[in-house]
Amino acid sequence: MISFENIHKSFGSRGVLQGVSLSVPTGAIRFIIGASGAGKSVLVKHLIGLIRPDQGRISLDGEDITHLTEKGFYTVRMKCAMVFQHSTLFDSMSLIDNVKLPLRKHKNLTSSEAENEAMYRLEQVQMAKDARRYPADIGDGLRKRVAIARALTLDPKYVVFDEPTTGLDPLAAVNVDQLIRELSDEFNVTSIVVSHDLRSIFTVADQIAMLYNGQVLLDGTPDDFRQSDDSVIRQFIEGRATGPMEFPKASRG
Amino acid sequence: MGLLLSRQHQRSALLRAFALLSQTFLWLGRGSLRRRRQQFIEQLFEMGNRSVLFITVTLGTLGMISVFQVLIQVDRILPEYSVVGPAFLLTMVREFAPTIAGLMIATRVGSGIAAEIGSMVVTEQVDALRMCNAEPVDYLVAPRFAACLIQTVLLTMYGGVVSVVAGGLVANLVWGIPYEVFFRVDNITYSDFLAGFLKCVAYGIAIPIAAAQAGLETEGGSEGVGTATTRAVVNASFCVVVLDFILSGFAFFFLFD
Amino acid sequence: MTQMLTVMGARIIEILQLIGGIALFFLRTLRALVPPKYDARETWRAFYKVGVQSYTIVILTAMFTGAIMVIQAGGTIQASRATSFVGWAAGFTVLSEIGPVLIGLMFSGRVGANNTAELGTMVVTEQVDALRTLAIDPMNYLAVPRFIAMIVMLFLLVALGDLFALLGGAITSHVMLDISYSVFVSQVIDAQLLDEYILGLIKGSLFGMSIAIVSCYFGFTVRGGAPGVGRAVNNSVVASAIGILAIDLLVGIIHHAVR
Repeated sequence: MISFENIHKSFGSRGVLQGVSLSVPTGAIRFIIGASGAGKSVLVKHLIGLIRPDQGRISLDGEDITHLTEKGFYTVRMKCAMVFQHSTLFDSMSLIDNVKLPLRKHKNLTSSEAENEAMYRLEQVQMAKDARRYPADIGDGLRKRVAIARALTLDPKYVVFDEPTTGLDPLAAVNVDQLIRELSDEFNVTSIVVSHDLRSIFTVADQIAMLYNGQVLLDGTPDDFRQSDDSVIRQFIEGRATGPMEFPKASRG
Repeated sequence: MGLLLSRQHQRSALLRAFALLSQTFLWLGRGSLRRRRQQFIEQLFEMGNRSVLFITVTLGTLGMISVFQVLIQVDRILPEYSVVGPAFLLTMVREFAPTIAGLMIATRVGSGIAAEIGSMVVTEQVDALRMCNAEPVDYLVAPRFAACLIQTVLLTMYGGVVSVVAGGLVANLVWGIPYEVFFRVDNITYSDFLAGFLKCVAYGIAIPIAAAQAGLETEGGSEGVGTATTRAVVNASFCVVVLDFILSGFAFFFLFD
Repeated sequence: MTQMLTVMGARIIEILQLIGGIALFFLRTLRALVPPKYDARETWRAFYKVGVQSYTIVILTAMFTGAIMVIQAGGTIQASRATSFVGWAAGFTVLSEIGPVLIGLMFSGRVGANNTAELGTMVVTEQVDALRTLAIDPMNYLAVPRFIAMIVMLFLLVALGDLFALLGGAITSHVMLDISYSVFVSQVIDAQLLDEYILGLIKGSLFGMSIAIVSCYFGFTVRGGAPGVGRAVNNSVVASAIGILAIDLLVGIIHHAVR
């Protein structure tokens, strides 16, 4: 169980989050949607301490983590993994070394055990055959799969996906959606997905929260969204360029 | 990194540098500066402005170090201070002021040129220039080249004065050598100044070319700009060291008897 | 006038902030050194990269430096016919002063600049944040291995470069001043320059330390994409050059005071 209570965050004079409250029940796939610049990524980065709130309270499994130190957040980050928007693999390492890194640092494994474990993780995402290649040599979709494998190495309870399907070709995007669904169904992993990809929103999500003007506009199931007659939500779902939603100029996701 | 590549690559990097140099002269001959006067003056101002404090600090420190080290040795061997000042001034004029100033300008201005041009290459601004029939050498390299040449000469002269003054202060305040004993210039001839001047002109030509070449050959994304900047610093500094060697030898055989 | 003072004041505050930031970063690096839990793989990689990147440029620079020192001393020495002085003069200046400084400056341009670019790129592409989300401390994982590698490697490079500088000096004295190699070598040995050699090595390690701190600091504080990385590299080499000369002066003064 994760809960955000009344989170405020400004960058300079721009109030990106103005009192956002939402909770993520264990085992669910929770989507956070909204236009570019609505503060979706900013919100989820609060959970793992990459961004600190100006005001508000964040709790994880009943424990208040708002004011933890950087070192204190390490235990949180072992429980909550993150898959970055651009995958963010380490360029200087082969794919298997990328996956092996958290194992080497946090688990007392011999090097052959770590190798086997990393290979198993890569197999899970069908990347075992490319294990010795480097991030620069493979496409975006494959990089994303390796990033997911790396995030899962420490058996996290929660995984944050920052725009997992943005910039992928449709086939790769479906593939990633399936992976997220499997994680939830088979391993009871709770997923928090930041997205504005309508197709994945309506095929994968259990619960959706829409951010608009720094606040939660609607929090509900996909059906609630389909049936909503709020003009902003209709504009978003129908993908119209004209409507009440003004697009902020800055592109912080 | 030219030096680490094969010999063939090395040769072609040097050839490309000479090609860039002759292109730059060509465009300067075609009146590049008249057309880009604005840019040229901006660069001149910017390079000088950004380097003046840096040159003051580094060359001042250099003057102090040199006098300090020499006087410690003189104290140990023979406490005869009258030769220290003239010898210090001579080596400053012939060697240290131009070369250390050259290295500092290679660091400060050279890396700046490469970073600017490299960022423009990566963000495809250089391609955009080509699209509107503006030649990058004419538009980007020639003004920077002229500005850097002038600033190298000026900053080296300024740096030389700073280092000599700093050295004189140390000699006077720490060792009590009177200024009129320290600042004796009767053994410095025109050929010494000529040797120093030739060096800073040569560095002023080599630094912007090495840096601009590194910038124009930037490849890849954000790491490309970093690599280009690094290459500019190393190549420009190494040019300074090699030119120093060549010109010192030249001066030894042809200028001094 | 008031405007000029404001600009100057802002600049001074900026520089003081920078010095404070670097000092704080230095303390954090020292703090990360204990307990000694270094990532062996990353440390080894840092050693390898630093060494491979810099040894050619350092050896070439050192040889030219030795040669230039002999040429500079040559004129004076030929005039006074004190050719027995060449080995001492070249050896002394190269080993205690100009050798470590020039090697340090070249090292900063090659290794320091490269390090800032590499770390800066990692910051800009969020790779440093990715490390943090894997509960790995970037100070421990990235800064400490580079810190150790640069100190050790610059020590070794000065030790090696000094020998090449003397070789360059010996060749030049032979060609220009007609002093045979054996005479040059015996002059250098007679001059008893062990003190100066050790002083140079101490300087080298301190230069390595300052280059490591400065280049990591500017790398970790990069803002603003690819142009930001270029600017950071520029600032990093400039600050390293000042650091090298300032340390050189300080060590000279301390060495004198101790003796």
